[in-house]
Amino acid sequence: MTAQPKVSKELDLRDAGARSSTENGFSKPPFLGFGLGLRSEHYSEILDNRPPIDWFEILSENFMVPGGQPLKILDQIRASYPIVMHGVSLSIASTGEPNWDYLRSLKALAERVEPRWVSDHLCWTGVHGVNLHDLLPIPYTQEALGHICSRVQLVQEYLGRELVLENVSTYVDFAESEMPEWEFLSELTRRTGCWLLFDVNNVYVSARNHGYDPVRFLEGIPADRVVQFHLAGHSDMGDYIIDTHDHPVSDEVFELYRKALDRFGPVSTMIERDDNIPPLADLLEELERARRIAENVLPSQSLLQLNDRRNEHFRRA
Amino acid sequence: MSRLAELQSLLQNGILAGDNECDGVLAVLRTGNGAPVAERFGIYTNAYRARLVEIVGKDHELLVEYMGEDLFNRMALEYVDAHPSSTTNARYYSRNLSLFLAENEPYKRWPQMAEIVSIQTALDDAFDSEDNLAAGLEDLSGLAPEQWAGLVFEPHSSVRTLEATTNAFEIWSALKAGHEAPPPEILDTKLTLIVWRQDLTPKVRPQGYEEAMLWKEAGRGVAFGVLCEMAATFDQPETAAERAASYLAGWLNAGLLASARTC
Repeated sequence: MTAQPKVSKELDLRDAGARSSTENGFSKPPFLGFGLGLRSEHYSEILDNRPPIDWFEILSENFMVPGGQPLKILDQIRASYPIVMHGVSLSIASTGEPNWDYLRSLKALAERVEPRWVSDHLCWTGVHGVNLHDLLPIPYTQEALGHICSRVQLVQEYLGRELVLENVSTYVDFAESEMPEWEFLSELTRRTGCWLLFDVNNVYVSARNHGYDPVRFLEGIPADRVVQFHLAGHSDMGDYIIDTHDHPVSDEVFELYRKALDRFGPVSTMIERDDNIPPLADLLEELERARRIAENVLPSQSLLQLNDRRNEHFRRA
Repeated sequence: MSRLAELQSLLQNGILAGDNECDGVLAVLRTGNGAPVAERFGIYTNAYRARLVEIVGKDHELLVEYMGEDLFNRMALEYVDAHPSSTTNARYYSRNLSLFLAENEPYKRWPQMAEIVSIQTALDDAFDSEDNLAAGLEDLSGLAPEQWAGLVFEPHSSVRTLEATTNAFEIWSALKAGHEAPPPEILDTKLTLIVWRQDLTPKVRPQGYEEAMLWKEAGRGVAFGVLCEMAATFDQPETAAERAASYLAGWLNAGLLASARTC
């Protein structure tokens, strides 16, 4: 089958219009360590063996169902691991009406799961009542920024928490864009107080597809707004790259991750695999590689504290 | 309409039409280095169809096996074109598939296909339906003999019933067990199938005519005493109460009832 894309800074809070965490009563989410995307293929192994994974990211929509096994398993896993929620259908950049049914369901799940944070993508997935089940690109214009800021504020108010938004992989860009993606993201987080999920692979993919240096992206993002990293694999088609999440993380993406750690410091990191799911042990090996890179880059103090927390957690579990 | 709204409509129309060379779209995209912009926009148009066909195929693996991949892919592409997704959850994208197969040529010539899909859809719905405690036989242990006639029942929230006009259940069961599917047949009388979730496991079984009739009436709030009278009218009166009690025991043991209480 043809490769398909996945469906899925230094911020000056003294600026006028900026919302600091303390003003909103929210604080920056903690560094959780090294986690994985929770996939049904690994449920039994996780529940039987309780592997030493620091946290899991769930796909919100998989659990936005009335009941049954999915929610029961999630309850069991969240009893042993910190959870973050990651959605694909918020469509925060859509110019369609806000989908209140979706938001109600998302809020109900967040109340049940009590995740460390709730994330989705800076993209739109459809208009006029259609969902294309894809993470579609936006023009980086002042008009789009104004629209998306108002949507982020609306959703944050409704959910009663700050959102975490992820940069997506893109294959086209709009001729009328007025600023680079990193400037758009920086301004979005400055105006709304949302946090950022920095998908290292997506930065690499978009940089290759649009012909810029990924380090420019990295350096254009305010360092204190990034709360999560995604690491994932892609398919290199020669002239462009598709974000398929069906391969191991590439060496180039790990190298960019090293640079991201150097800039952003300790940020919760996970491997995101959505297709061609390998045994859990393979993902743990990839995660261990990320952990070793972090050990080389980060001040040892930050990881020591994490190790203490992890040991205490698994001792109690 | 804002410019952002215009651009989103433009792109969406191009993707839905599967037209990666749509002039309107290409005019608003930047031509960069590397692959031509039409090829890059084609990543979105191709992915849209491929992703939805994949979703339908994963939801209905037995149908893929029954139809064969070529016919299934042709059908799924037609379904995708006829039904742009309106759900935020891909889990529900295939929900119109049974109706699509029942109403459209050439698939409606093979009505067992729509019914195979209905069985699978009902099982999937039961799988993640609302959690609801099931009543058991022990709930009736303290009941005085004179109270039985007044018992009324509430079906478990996971229960769905289907009426098959073909031997789709037989075909589905054979495919599920990894056996060769029997030839399709139109049944002389409709077969009622009851689908539900017992603990965490979705289940399906056929109901005989009498049981199906009594189950339907029980779901409408008809009391057990009246169900026994109906059974007596339907078949041998002297064993009617025994038959009704046997159905009730089966319902309670299988977790088909949320409650059994005296009215």
